[in-house]
Amino acid sequence: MDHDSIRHKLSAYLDGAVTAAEKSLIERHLEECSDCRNTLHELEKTIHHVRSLGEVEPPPWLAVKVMARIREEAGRKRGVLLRLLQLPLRWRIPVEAAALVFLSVTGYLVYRNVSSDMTQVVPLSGEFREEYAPPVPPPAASPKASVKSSPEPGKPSSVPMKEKRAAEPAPPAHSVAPLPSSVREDASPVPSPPAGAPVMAEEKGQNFRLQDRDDAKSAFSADRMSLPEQEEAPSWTMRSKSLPTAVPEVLGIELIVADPESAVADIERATERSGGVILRKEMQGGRVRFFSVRLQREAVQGYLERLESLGDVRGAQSIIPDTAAAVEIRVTISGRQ
Amino acid sequence: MIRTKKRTLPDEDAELVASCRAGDLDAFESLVRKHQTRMFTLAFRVLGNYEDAGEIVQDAFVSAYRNLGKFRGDAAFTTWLTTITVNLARNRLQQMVSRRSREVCSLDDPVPGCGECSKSHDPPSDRPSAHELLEREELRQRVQGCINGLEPGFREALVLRDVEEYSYGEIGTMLRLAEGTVKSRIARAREAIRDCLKRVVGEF
Repeated sequence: MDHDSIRHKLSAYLDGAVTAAEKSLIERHLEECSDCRNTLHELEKTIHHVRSLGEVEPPPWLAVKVMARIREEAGRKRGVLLRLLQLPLRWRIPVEAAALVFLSVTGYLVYRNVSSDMTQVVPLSGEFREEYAPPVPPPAASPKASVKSSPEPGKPSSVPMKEKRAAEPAPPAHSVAPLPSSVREDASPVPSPPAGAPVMAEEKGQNFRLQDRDDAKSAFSADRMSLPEQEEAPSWTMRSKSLPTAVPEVLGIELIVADPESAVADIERATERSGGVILRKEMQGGRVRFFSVRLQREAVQGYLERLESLGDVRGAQSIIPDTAAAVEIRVTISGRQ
Repeated sequence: MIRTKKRTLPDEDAELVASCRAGDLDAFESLVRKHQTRMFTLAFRVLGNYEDAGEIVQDAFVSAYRNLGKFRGDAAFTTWLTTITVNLARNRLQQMVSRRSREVCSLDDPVPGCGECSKSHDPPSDRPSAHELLEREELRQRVQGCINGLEPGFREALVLRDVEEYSYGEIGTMLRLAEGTVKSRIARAREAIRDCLKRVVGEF
Protein backbone atom coordinates (compact mmCIF):
# COMPACT_ATOMS: atom_id res chain seq x y z
CA MET A 1 0.00 0.00 0.00
CA ASP A 2 1.35 3.39 -0.92
CA HIS A 3 1.16 6.60 1.10
CA ASP A 4 -2.19 7.79 -0.37
CA SER A 5 -3.91 4.45 0.10
CA ILE A 6 -2.78 4.33 3.70
CA ARG A 7 -3.89 7.91 4.30
CA HIS A 8 -7.38 7.08 3.04
CA LYS A 9 -7.56 4.08 5.34
CA LEU A 10 -6.73 6.04 8.47
CA SER A 11 -10.40 6.76 9.18
CA ALA A 12 -11.30 3.06 9.10
CA TYR A 13 -8.13 2.31 11.06
CA LEU A 14 -9.35 4.57 13.87
CA ASP A 15 -12.61 2.60 13.95
CA GLY A 16 -10.84 -0.72 13.97
CA ALA A 17 -12.41 -1.54 10.63
CA VAL A 18 -9.31 -2.81 8.84
CA THR A 19 -7.90 -6.28 8.49
CA ALA A 20 -4.99 -7.42 10.60
CA ALA A 21 -2.67 -7.24 7.56
CA GLU A 22 -3.80 -3.71 6.74
CA LYS A 23 -3.40 -2.71 10.35
CA SER A 24 0.23 -3.83 10.51
CA LEU A 25 1.00 -2.11 7.18
CA ILE A 26 -0.61 1.13 8.36
CA GLU A 27 1.21 1.07 11.69
CA ARG A 28 4.55 0.42 9.99
CA HIS A 29 3.90 3.33 7.63
CA LEU A 30 2.86 5.64 10.47
CA GLU A 31 6.19 5.08 12.15
CA GLU A 32 7.93 6.40 9.07
CA CYS A 33 5.46 9.05 7.80
CA SER A 34 4.97 12.16 9.92
CA ASP A 35 2.41 13.53 7.44
CA CYS A 36 0.15 10.51 8.00
CA ARG A 37 0.71 10.72 11.76
CA ASN A 38 -0.48 14.30 11.61
CA THR A 39 -3.48 13.35 9.54
CA LEU A 40 -4.36 10.62 12.02
CA HIS A 41 -4.15 13.08 14.86
CA GLU A 42 -6.43 15.57 13.07
CA LEU A 43 -8.96 12.88 12.34
CA GLU A 44 -8.99 11.81 15.97
CA LYS A 45 -9.68 15.37 16.99
CA THR A 46 -12.40 15.73 14.37
CA ILE A 47 -14.18 12.62 15.62
CA HIS A 48 -13.84 13.88 19.14
CA HIS A 49 -15.45 17.21 18.21
CA VAL A 50 -18.37 15.52 16.49
CA ARG A 51 -18.90 13.10 19.36
CA SER A 52 -18.77 15.98 21.80
CA LEU A 53 -21.79 17.56 20.22
CA GLY A 54 -24.04 15.67 22.62
CA GLU A 55 -27.77 15.28 22.49
CA VAL A 56 -30.28 17.96 21.62
CA GLU A 57 -33.35 18.36 23.78
CA PRO A 58 -36.50 18.00 21.66
CA PRO A 59 -39.31 20.53 21.97
CA PRO A 60 -41.56 19.75 24.95
CA TRP A 61 -44.62 19.33 22.75
CA LEU A 62 -43.08 16.63 20.60
CA ALA A 63 -44.32 13.56 22.49
CA VAL A 64 -47.75 15.14 22.98
CA LYS A 65 -48.12 15.81 19.26
CA VAL A 66 -46.91 12.36 18.32
CA MET A 67 -49.37 10.70 20.67
CA ALA A 68 -52.23 12.92 19.52
CA ARG A 69 -51.64 11.75 15.95
CA ILE A 70 -51.33 8.14 17.03
CA ARG A 71 -54.47 8.19 19.17
CA GLU A 72 -56.37 9.74 16.28
CA GLU A 73 -55.13 7.01 13.98
CA ALA A 74 -55.95 4.30 16.48
CA GLY A 75 -59.42 5.79 16.90
CA ARG A 76 -60.03 5.64 13.16
CA LYS A 77 -59.02 2.01 13.13
CA ARG A 78 -61.43 1.09 15.88
CA GLY A 79 -64.30 2.42 13.84
CA VAL A 80 -67.40 4.41 14.48
CA LEU A 81 -69.51 1.56 15.87
CA LEU A 82 -66.97 0.58 18.45
CA ARG A 83 -66.63 4.17 19.55
CA LEU A 84 -70.39 4.39 19.83
CA LEU A 85 -70.40 1.39 22.13
CA GLN A 86 -67.82 3.06 24.29
CA LEU A 87 -69.87 6.21 24.74
CA PRO A 88 -71.06 6.90 28.26
CA LEU A 89 -74.61 5.79 28.98
CA ARG A 90 -75.99 9.31 29.11
CA TRP A 91 -75.05 9.70 25.42
CA ARG A 92 -75.60 6.17 24.28
CA ILE A 93 -79.24 5.85 25.37
CA PRO A 94 -80.51 8.87 23.39
CA VAL A 95 -78.55 7.79 20.31
CA GLU A 96 -79.94 4.29 20.47
CA ALA A 97 -83.46 5.55 21.11
CA ALA A 98 -83.25 7.88 18.10
CA ALA A 99 -82.02 5.02 15.94
CA LEU A 100 -84.91 2.82 17.11
CA VAL A 101 -87.49 5.50 16.33
CA PHE A 102 -85.95 6.08 12.91
CA LEU A 103 -86.03 2.39 12.06
CA SER A 104 -89.62 2.02 13.27
CA VAL A 105 -90.88 4.97 11.22
CA THR A 106 -89.00 3.84 8.14
CA GLY A 107 -90.33 0.31 8.52
CA TYR A 108 -93.89 1.53 8.92
CA LEU A 109 -93.67 3.78 5.86
CA VAL A 110 -92.22 1.02 3.74
CA TYR A 111 -94.94 -1.37 4.90
CA ARG A 112 -97.65 1.16 4.08
CA ASN A 113 -96.36 1.76 0.58
CA VAL A 114 -95.90 -1.87 -0.22
CA SER A 115 -99.28 -2.95 1.10
CA SER A 116 -101.13 -0.19 -0.80
CA ASP A 117 -99.48 -1.36 -4.01
CA MET A 118 -100.55 -4.90 -3.44
CA THR A 119 -104.17 -4.10 -2.71
CA GLN A 120 -104.57 -2.10 -5.90
CA VAL A 121 -102.89 -4.41 -8.33
CA VAL A 122 -105.31 -7.32 -8.17
CA PRO A 123 -108.64 -5.74 -9.08
CA LEU A 124 -107.17 -3.60 -11.82
CA SER A 125 -105.45 -6.29 -13.77
CA GLY A 126 -108.61 -7.84 -15.18
CA GLU A 127 -109.92 -4.63 -16.61
CA PHE A 128 -107.00 -4.06 -18.84
CA ARG A 129 -106.75 -7.56 -20.03
CA GLU A 130 -110.30 -7.20 -21.15
CA GLU A 131 -109.38 -4.33 -23.39
CA TYR A 132 -107.86 -6.82 -25.75
CA ALA A 133 -111.02 -8.82 -26.07
CA PRO A 134 -112.92 -6.47 -28.34
CA PRO A 135 -116.48 -7.44 -29.16
CA VAL A 136 -116.36 -5.61 -32.48
CA PRO A 137 -114.01 -5.85 -35.41
CA PRO A 138 -111.03 -3.54 -35.52
CA PRO A 139 -110.96 -0.44 -37.66
CA ALA A 140 -110.23 -0.95 -41.30
CA ALA A 141 -106.57 -0.33 -41.06
CA SER A 142 -104.19 -2.29 -43.18
CA PRO A 143 -103.06 -5.14 -40.95
CA LYS A 144 -99.77 -5.35 -42.73
CA ALA A 145 -98.93 -1.73 -42.11
CA SER A 146 -100.05 -1.87 -38.52
CA VAL A 147 -98.02 -4.93 -37.71
CA LYS A 148 -94.89 -3.46 -39.07
CA SER A 149 -95.31 -0.24 -37.20
CA SER A 150 -92.63 0.52 -34.72
CA PRO A 151 -92.94 3.08 -31.97
CA GLU A 152 -93.33 6.44 -33.65
CA PRO A 153 -93.92 9.07 -31.04
CA GLY A 154 -94.68 11.71 -33.60
CA LYS A 155 -97.59 9.81 -35.02
CA PRO A 156 -100.76 11.40 -33.69
CA SER A 157 -103.09 8.56 -34.65
CA SER A 158 -102.03 6.40 -31.76
CA VAL A 159 -103.46 8.84 -29.25
CA PRO A 160 -107.10 8.89 -30.25
CA MET A 161 -106.98 5.21 -31.02
CA LYS A 162 -105.99 4.48 -27.53
CA GLU A 163 -108.63 6.77 -26.11
CA LYS A 164 -111.16 5.03 -28.22
CA ARG A 165 -110.17 1.61 -27.04
CA ALA A 166 -111.51 2.08 -23.58
CA ALA A 167 -115.04 2.92 -24.58
CA GLU A 168 -115.11 0.95 -27.75
CA PRO A 169 -112.51 -1.65 -27.25
CA ALA A 170 -111.39 -2.40 -30.76
CA PRO A 171 -107.68 -2.87 -30.39
CA PRO A 172 -105.62 -1.07 -32.98
CA ALA A 173 -102.81 -3.38 -33.73
CA HIS A 174 -100.13 -0.76 -33.83
CA SER A 175 -100.78 0.21 -30.24
CA VAL A 176 -99.28 -3.09 -29.21
CA ALA A 177 -95.80 -1.90 -29.26
CA PRO A 178 -92.88 -4.27 -29.03
CA LEU A 179 -91.58 -4.10 -25.53
CA PRO A 180 -88.20 -4.61 -24.05
CA SER A 181 -87.59 -8.29 -23.60
CA SER A 182 -87.26 -7.94 -19.87
CA VAL A 183 -90.78 -6.62 -19.60
CA ARG A 184 -92.12 -9.42 -21.74
CA GLU A 185 -90.40 -12.06 -19.73
CA ASP A 186 -91.79 -10.71 -16.51
CA ALA A 187 -95.27 -10.28 -17.71
CA SER A 188 -96.07 -13.19 -19.96
CA PRO A 189 -96.82 -16.52 -18.35
CA VAL A 190 -98.03 -18.10 -21.60
CA PRO A 191 -95.97 -19.35 -24.53
CA SER A 192 -96.88 -16.37 -26.67
CA PRO A 193 -94.77 -13.51 -25.40
CA PRO A 194 -95.35 -11.12 -28.29
CA ALA A 195 -99.08 -11.04 -27.81
CA GLY A 196 -99.43 -11.41 -24.07
CA ALA A 197 -96.65 -9.21 -22.92
CA PRO A 198 -97.92 -5.81 -23.95
CA VAL A 199 -101.13 -6.38 -22.11
CA MET A 200 -99.45 -7.18 -18.88
CA ALA A 201 -96.98 -4.43 -19.31
CA GLU A 202 -99.72 -1.95 -19.75
CA GLU A 203 -101.31 -3.20 -16.61
CA LYS A 204 -98.19 -2.24 -14.80
CA GLY A 205 -98.36 1.24 -16.18
CA GLN A 206 -102.04 1.66 -15.53
CA ASN A 207 -101.67 0.44 -12.03
CA PHE A 208 -99.50 3.42 -11.28
CA ARG A 209 -101.87 5.78 -12.97
CA LEU A 210 -104.80 4.71 -10.84
CA GLN A 211 -103.07 4.94 -7.54
CA ASP A 212 -104.19 7.84 -5.47
CA ARG A 213 -100.68 8.76 -4.45
CA ASP A 214 -98.44 11.75 -4.80
CA ASP A 215 -95.80 9.81 -6.62
CA ALA A 216 -98.21 8.33 -9.13
CA LYS A 217 -97.41 10.98 -11.67
CA SER A 218 -93.71 10.46 -11.58
CA ALA A 219 -94.06 6.70 -11.63
CA PHE A 220 -96.27 7.00 -14.64
CA SER A 221 -93.76 9.22 -16.37
CA ALA A 222 -91.08 6.67 -15.79
CA ASP A 223 -93.32 3.98 -17.14
CA ARG A 224 -94.04 5.99 -20.27
CA MET A 225 -90.38 6.21 -21.00
CA SER A 226 -90.22 2.50 -21.52
CA LEU A 227 -93.53 2.36 -23.36
CA PRO A 228 -93.50 5.27 -25.78
CA GLU A 229 -96.65 4.14 -27.56
CA GLN A 230 -98.72 4.30 -24.44
CA GLU A 231 -98.75 8.01 -23.97
CA GLU A 232 -101.78 10.14 -23.31
CA ALA A 233 -103.35 7.82 -20.86
CA PRO A 234 -107.11 7.77 -20.93
CA SER A 235 -108.90 8.65 -17.78
CA TRP A 236 -109.36 5.80 -15.45
CA THR A 237 -113.02 6.50 -15.03
CA MET A 238 -113.60 5.39 -18.59
CA ARG A 239 -111.72 2.21 -17.96
CA SER A 240 -113.67 1.40 -14.88
CA LYS A 241 -116.50 0.11 -17.06
CA SER A 242 -115.66 -3.37 -16.08
CA LEU A 243 -115.62 -6.12 -18.72
CA PRO A 244 -115.41 -9.87 -18.23
CA THR A 245 -112.16 -10.83 -16.66
CA ALA A 246 -111.29 -13.49 -19.14
CA VAL A 247 -107.75 -13.83 -20.35
CA PRO A 248 -107.18 -14.30 -24.06
CA GLU A 249 -106.46 -17.92 -24.74
CA VAL A 250 -103.44 -18.76 -26.80
CA LEU A 251 -103.76 -21.33 -29.46
CA GLY A 252 -100.91 -22.60 -31.52
CA ILE A 253 -101.51 -24.01 -34.96
CA GLU A 254 -99.39 -24.93 -37.90
CA LEU A 255 -100.38 -24.17 -41.47
CA ILE A 256 -98.70 -26.33 -44.08
CA VAL A 257 -98.82 -24.78 -47.53
CA ALA A 258 -97.21 -25.42 -50.90
CA ASP A 259 -95.87 -21.89 -51.20
CA PRO A 260 -95.20 -20.27 -47.81
CA GLU A 261 -94.35 -16.91 -49.33
CA SER A 262 -97.60 -16.39 -51.13
CA ALA A 263 -99.48 -17.79 -48.14
CA VAL A 264 -98.53 -14.73 -46.07
CA ALA A 265 -100.81 -12.41 -47.99
CA ASP A 266 -103.57 -15.02 -47.89
CA ILE A 267 -103.32 -15.33 -44.13
CA GLU A 268 -103.46 -11.57 -43.75
CA ARG A 269 -106.55 -11.47 -45.84
CA ALA A 270 -108.16 -14.37 -43.93
CA THR A 271 -107.41 -12.60 -40.65
CA GLU A 272 -108.94 -9.39 -41.84
CA ARG A 273 -112.09 -11.14 -43.05
CA SER A 274 -112.47 -12.93 -39.73
CA GLY A 275 -112.35 -9.62 -37.90
CA GLY A 276 -109.01 -10.46 -36.36
CA VAL A 277 -105.96 -8.37 -35.78
CA ILE A 278 -102.43 -9.36 -36.58
CA LEU A 279 -100.48 -8.57 -33.47
CA ARG A 280 -97.09 -9.58 -34.67
CA LYS A 281 -95.26 -11.17 -37.50
CA GLU A 282 -91.94 -12.87 -37.03
CA MET A 283 -89.34 -13.54 -39.65
CA GLN A 284 -87.25 -16.62 -39.87
CA GLY A 285 -84.91 -17.62 -42.65
CA GLY A 286 -85.70 -14.45 -44.65
CA ARG A 287 -89.46 -14.96 -44.76
CA VAL A 288 -92.46 -14.57 -42.52
CA ARG A 289 -92.68 -17.70 -40.43
CA PHE A 290 -95.07 -16.86 -37.57
CA PHE A 291 -98.21 -14.77 -37.12
CA SER A 292 -99.76 -13.81 -33.84
CA VAL A 293 -103.42 -13.09 -34.45
CA ARG A 294 -106.13 -11.95 -32.06
CA LEU A 295 -109.70 -13.00 -32.75
CA GLN A 296 -113.05 -12.99 -31.11
CA ARG A 297 -113.85 -16.43 -29.76
CA GLU A 298 -116.84 -16.85 -32.08
CA ALA A 299 -114.74 -15.94 -35.09
CA VAL A 300 -112.15 -18.64 -34.50
CA GLN A 301 -114.00 -21.41 -36.21
CA GLY A 302 -114.50 -19.38 -39.39
CA TYR A 303 -110.88 -18.33 -39.34
CA LEU A 304 -109.66 -21.90 -39.11
CA GLU A 305 -111.84 -22.84 -42.02
CA ARG A 306 -110.35 -20.06 -44.09
CA LEU A 307 -106.89 -21.28 -43.22
CA GLU A 308 -107.83 -24.81 -44.14
CA SER A 309 -108.67 -23.51 -47.60
CA LEU A 310 -105.05 -22.35 -47.87
CA GLY A 311 -103.41 -25.57 -46.74
CA ASP A 312 -103.29 -28.20 -44.03
CA VAL A 313 -103.97 -26.94 -40.52
CA ARG A 314 -102.54 -28.86 -37.58
CA GLY A 315 -103.24 -28.28 -33.90
CA ALA A 316 -106.65 -26.68 -34.40
CA GLN A 317 -108.36 -29.31 -32.29
CA SER A 318 -107.43 -27.50 -29.07
CA ILE A 319 -110.46 -26.72 -26.97
CA ILE A 320 -111.16 -23.10 -26.28
CA PRO A 321 -112.63 -22.54 -22.80
CA ASP A 322 -115.94 -20.74 -22.54
CA THR A 323 -114.46 -18.00 -20.43
CA ALA A 324 -112.23 -16.80 -23.22
CA ALA A 325 -113.78 -13.81 -24.93
CA ALA A 326 -110.79 -13.41 -27.20
CA VAL A 327 -108.30 -15.83 -28.58
CA GLU A 328 -104.77 -15.36 -29.72
CA ILE A 329 -103.63 -17.70 -32.38
CA ARG A 330 -100.05 -18.27 -33.21
CA VAL A 331 -99.85 -19.44 -36.78
CA THR A 332 -96.70 -21.17 -37.89
CA ILE A 333 -96.31 -21.32 -41.66
CA SER A 334 -94.52 -24.38 -42.97
CA GLY A 335 -93.76 -25.39 -46.50
CA ARG A 336 -95.06 -28.69 -47.76
CA GLN A 337 -92.23 -31.21 -48.16
CA MET B 1 -29.71 21.21 26.21
CA ILE B 2 -26.83 18.81 26.03
CA ARG B 3 -27.19 15.32 27.39
CA THR B 4 -24.93 12.38 27.59
CA LYS B 5 -25.91 9.82 25.03
CA LYS B 6 -26.75 6.31 26.11
CA ARG B 7 -27.04 3.29 23.87
CA THR B 8 -30.09 1.09 24.34
CA LEU B 9 -29.63 -2.62 24.84
CA PRO B 10 -31.05 -4.70 21.97
CA ASP B 11 -33.90 -6.29 23.85
CA GLU B 12 -34.62 -3.51 26.25
CA ASP B 13 -37.82 -2.44 24.50
CA ALA B 14 -39.17 -5.87 23.66
CA GLU B 15 -41.80 -5.82 26.39
CA LEU B 16 -43.09 -2.37 25.50
CA VAL B 17 -43.19 -3.29 21.84
CA ALA B 18 -45.24 -6.40 22.64
CA SER B 19 -47.69 -4.29 24.65
CA CYS B 20 -47.99 -1.83 21.75
CA ARG B 21 -48.83 -4.67 19.42
CA ALA B 22 -51.60 -5.67 21.80
CA GLY B 23 -53.05 -2.17 21.39
CA ASP B 24 -51.58 -0.53 24.48
CA LEU B 25 -51.10 3.09 23.47
CA ASP B 26 -49.58 3.96 26.83
CA ALA B 27 -46.78 1.54 26.08
CA PHE B 28 -46.15 3.30 22.81
CA GLU B 29 -46.11 6.63 24.60
CA SER B 30 -43.44 5.22 26.89
CA LEU B 31 -41.36 4.34 23.84
CA VAL B 32 -41.86 7.82 22.41
CA ARG B 33 -40.77 9.51 25.62
CA LYS B 34 -37.84 7.18 25.97
CA HIS B 35 -36.43 7.63 22.47
CA GLN B 36 -37.57 11.07 21.42
CA THR B 37 -34.35 12.80 22.47
CA ARG B 38 -32.14 10.38 20.64
CA MET B 39 -34.25 10.48 17.50
CA PHE B 40 -34.49 14.26 17.65
CA THR B 41 -30.74 14.58 18.02
CA LEU B 42 -30.20 12.31 15.05
CA ALA B 43 -32.67 14.25 12.90
CA PHE B 44 -31.27 17.59 14.01
CA ARG B 45 -27.66 16.56 13.29
CA VAL B 46 -28.62 15.39 9.80
CA LEU B 47 -30.94 18.27 8.94
CA GLY B 48 -29.35 21.08 10.94
CA ASN B 49 -32.79 22.59 11.52
CA TYR B 50 -34.85 22.43 14.69
CA GLU B 51 -38.30 22.66 13.09
CA ASP B 52 -37.59 20.16 10.36
CA ALA B 53 -36.16 17.77 12.92
CA GLY B 54 -39.37 18.05 14.99
CA GLU B 55 -41.53 17.22 12.00
CA ILE B 56 -39.36 14.33 10.94
CA VAL B 57 -39.36 12.78 14.39
CA GLN B 58 -43.15 13.03 14.57
CA ASP B 59 -43.45 11.35 11.21
CA ALA B 60 -40.96 8.68 12.24
CA PHE B 61 -42.90 7.71 15.36
CA VAL B 62 -46.21 7.65 13.50
CA SER B 63 -44.63 5.54 10.78
CA ALA B 64 -43.19 3.19 13.41
CA TYR B 65 -46.64 2.84 14.98
CA ARG B 66 -48.24 2.02 11.64
CA ASN B 67 -45.57 -0.51 10.76
CA LEU B 68 -45.14 -2.11 14.13
CA GLY B 69 -46.53 -5.33 12.69
CA LYS B 70 -43.58 -5.49 10.28
CA PHE B 71 -41.00 -5.16 13.04
CA ARG B 72 -39.71 -8.69 13.48
CA GLY B 73 -37.33 -8.06 16.34
CA ASP B 74 -34.24 -9.15 14.40
CA ALA B 75 -32.56 -5.93 15.45
CA ALA B 76 -33.19 -3.74 18.47
CA PHE B 77 -36.25 -1.53 18.37
CA THR B 78 -33.99 1.53 18.55
CA THR B 79 -32.08 0.40 15.47
CA TRP B 80 -35.33 -0.06 13.61
CA LEU B 81 -36.61 3.32 14.78
CA THR B 82 -33.29 4.95 13.87
CA THR B 83 -33.53 3.47 10.38
CA ILE B 84 -36.96 5.03 9.91
CA THR B 85 -35.84 8.37 11.27
CA VAL B 86 -32.60 8.61 9.30
CA ASN B 87 -34.31 7.68 6.04
CA LEU B 88 -37.06 10.23 6.56
CA ALA B 89 -34.40 12.81 7.41
CA ARG B 90 -32.42 11.89 4.31
CA ASN B 91 -35.48 12.32 2.11
CA ARG B 92 -36.24 15.67 3.68
CA LEU B 93 -32.63 16.73 3.26
CA GLN B 94 -32.68 15.86 -0.41
CA GLN B 95 -35.84 17.91 -0.84
CA MET B 96 -34.25 20.83 0.98
CA VAL B 97 -31.10 20.60 -1.09
CA SER B 98 -32.96 20.40 -4.37
CA ARG B 99 -34.97 23.47 -3.37
CA ARG B 100 -31.96 25.49 -2.52
CA SER B 101 -29.72 27.03 -5.02
CA ARG B 102 -26.41 25.79 -3.87
CA GLU B 103 -22.82 25.99 -4.86
CA VAL B 104 -21.90 23.20 -7.21
CA CYS B 105 -20.67 20.30 -5.14
CA SER B 106 -20.43 16.77 -6.42
CA LEU B 107 -20.14 13.55 -4.48
CA ASP B 108 -17.03 12.93 -6.52
CA ASP B 109 -15.35 16.11 -5.34
CA PRO B 110 -12.31 15.45 -3.20
CA VAL B 111 -13.96 17.50 -0.46
CA PRO B 112 -17.69 16.93 -0.18
CA GLY B 113 -18.20 19.77 2.27
CA CYS B 114 -18.86 23.18 0.83
CA GLY B 115 -21.09 26.17 1.06
CA GLU B 116 -22.52 26.64 4.48
CA CYS B 117 -19.46 26.16 6.66
CA SER B 118 -17.13 28.12 4.46
CA LYS B 119 -19.67 30.86 3.81
CA SER B 120 -21.15 31.39 7.21
CA HIS B 121 -18.13 30.66 9.33
CA ASP B 122 -15.28 32.69 8.00
CA PRO B 123 -12.18 32.31 10.12
CA PRO B 124 -12.17 35.05 12.72
CA SER B 125 -9.14 37.20 12.73
CA ASP B 126 -8.63 36.90 16.45
CA ARG B 127 -9.37 33.27 17.02
CA PRO B 128 -9.44 31.54 20.37
CA SER B 129 -7.80 28.14 20.46
CA ALA B 130 -9.81 25.00 19.86
CA HIS B 131 -9.22 23.92 23.40
CA GLU B 132 -10.83 27.12 24.72
CA LEU B 133 -13.82 26.69 22.46
CA LEU B 134 -14.27 23.00 23.07
CA GLU B 135 -16.78 23.22 25.86
CA ARG B 136 -18.53 26.24 24.44
CA GLU B 137 -21.69 26.36 22.51
CA GLU B 138 -20.02 28.33 19.78
CA LEU B 139 -17.71 25.49 18.91
CA ARG B 140 -20.61 23.07 18.79
CA GLN B 141 -22.45 25.40 16.49
CA ARG B 142 -19.44 25.56 14.20
CA VAL B 143 -19.08 21.81 14.17
CA GLN B 144 -22.77 21.52 13.31
CA GLY B 145 -22.24 24.16 10.64
CA CYS B 146 -19.51 21.99 9.15
CA ILE B 147 -21.82 18.97 9.17
CA ASN B 148 -24.50 21.06 7.49
CA GLY B 149 -21.99 21.79 4.75
CA LEU B 150 -21.67 18.10 3.87
CA GLU B 151 -23.53 16.71 0.92
CA PRO B 152 -26.53 14.46 1.57
CA GLY B 153 -25.27 10.90 1.70
CA PHE B 154 -22.19 11.92 3.67
CA ARG B 155 -24.07 13.55 6.52
CA GLU B 156 -26.19 10.55 7.48
CA ALA B 157 -23.20 8.23 7.37
CA LEU B 158 -21.10 10.53 9.55
CA VAL B 159 -23.89 11.15 12.08
CA LEU B 160 -24.77 7.47 12.36
CA ARG B 161 -21.10 6.64 12.96
CA ASP B 162 -19.78 9.51 15.07
CA VAL B 163 -22.93 10.67 16.83
CA GLU B 164 -24.92 7.43 17.09
CA GLU B 165 -21.86 5.17 17.09
CA TYR B 166 -23.30 2.47 14.86
CA SER B 167 -20.95 0.02 13.16
CA TYR B 168 -20.20 0.17 9.45
CA GLY B 169 -22.30 -2.94 8.91
CA GLU B 170 -25.31 -1.49 10.73
CA ILE B 171 -25.03 1.77 8.83
CA GLY B 172 -24.86 -0.14 5.56
CA THR B 173 -28.04 -1.97 6.47
CA MET B 174 -29.83 1.19 7.52
CA LEU B 175 -28.87 3.22 4.46
CA ARG B 176 -28.89 0.24 2.10
CA LEU B 177 -25.29 0.78 1.13
CA ALA B 178 -22.35 -1.56 0.73
CA GLU B 179 -20.01 -1.55 3.70
CA GLY B 180 -17.16 -0.32 1.51
CA THR B 181 -19.25 2.64 0.41
CA VAL B 182 -20.09 3.45 4.02
CA LYS B 183 -16.42 3.31 4.96
CA SER B 184 -15.44 5.55 2.09
CA ARG B 185 -18.17 8.07 2.78
CA ILE B 186 -17.32 8.31 6.46
CA ALA B 187 -13.63 8.78 5.66
CA ARG B 188 -14.33 11.57 3.19
CA ALA B 189 -16.88 13.19 5.50
CA ARG B 190 -14.37 13.25 8.35
CA GLU B 191 -11.74 14.79 6.12
CA ALA B 192 -14.22 17.42 5.00
CA ILE B 193 -15.18 18.23 8.59
CA ARG B 194 -11.51 18.44 9.50
CA ASP B 195 -10.84 20.88 6.68
CA CYS B 196 -13.93 22.88 7.59
CA LEU B 197 -12.94 23.06 11.26
CA LYS B 198 -9.48 24.22 10.26
CA ARG B 199 -11.09 27.07 8.43
CA VAL B 200 -13.66 28.05 11.09
CA VAL B 201 -11.70 27.31 14.24
CA GLY B 202 -8.19 27.86 13.07
CA GLU B 203 -5.58 26.12 15.13
CA PHE B 204 -6.49 22.46 15.20
